[in-house]
Amino acid sequence: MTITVPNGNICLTFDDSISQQLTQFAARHFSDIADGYLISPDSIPYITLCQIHHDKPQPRAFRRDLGNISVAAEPLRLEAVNHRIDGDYTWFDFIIAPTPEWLSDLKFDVETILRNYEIQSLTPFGPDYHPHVALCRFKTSASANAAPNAFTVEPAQMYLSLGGPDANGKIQKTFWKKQLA
Amino acid sequence: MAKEDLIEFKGVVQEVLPNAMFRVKLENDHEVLAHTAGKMRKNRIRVLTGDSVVVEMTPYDLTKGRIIFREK
Repeated sequence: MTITVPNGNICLTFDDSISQQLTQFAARHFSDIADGYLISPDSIPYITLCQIHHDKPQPRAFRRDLGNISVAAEPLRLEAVNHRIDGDYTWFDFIIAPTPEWLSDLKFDVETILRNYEIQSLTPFGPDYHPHVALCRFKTSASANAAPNAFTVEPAQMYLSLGGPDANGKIQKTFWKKQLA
Repeated sequence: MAKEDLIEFKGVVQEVLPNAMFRVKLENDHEVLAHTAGKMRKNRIRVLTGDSVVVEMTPYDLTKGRIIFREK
């Protein structure tokens, strides 16, 4: 069986203030147990819209078309810290549930552009899409507690971004971004 | 994305799904997964099972769409 590995991620990233708050929260709760993934200044927090796999270089027009998407973004509430078990590892995430309609709208527009350029999206659409900000990954045998916390992110603090993930999904830098409002 | 790249179909909402998604049966009997457009949210137009709607879709993917109009 061939597994297609994502080599790009179209995602929402945050301004420095929100990114810093999220990384400080993650460091406070998970720095002792993190294994392979912990958001930090070298691993920026993000919400995946579409993980992508592409073999050819993206044409310049691809980013132009992404930049032309009109987004009616609303404030986003990162409220509940959730954990999910993935084999030997557990991930801690801020989940965004239910998915805001404007986010589904944005994902629809992004997927339409991807299709125009024959770029494959590896992220589900619809009820199977669960937007989240991954905070940390650790061995399931360890234990962690996350104190309740919440962040409200205004549209002007979010960016539609194109990042390059490593094997663990870590994004160290974005190649392109556009502020949502 | 240019508006002219999209095509419109009439349909009926079959099921309200989690994550503010809808299963819509189009007039051509195809079923698609759809969400509501921004302008409908702005005008607080609710969509329920049995509603007749207009769905906007890309010709590149006929499995999903965006509900842009709900008939009265």
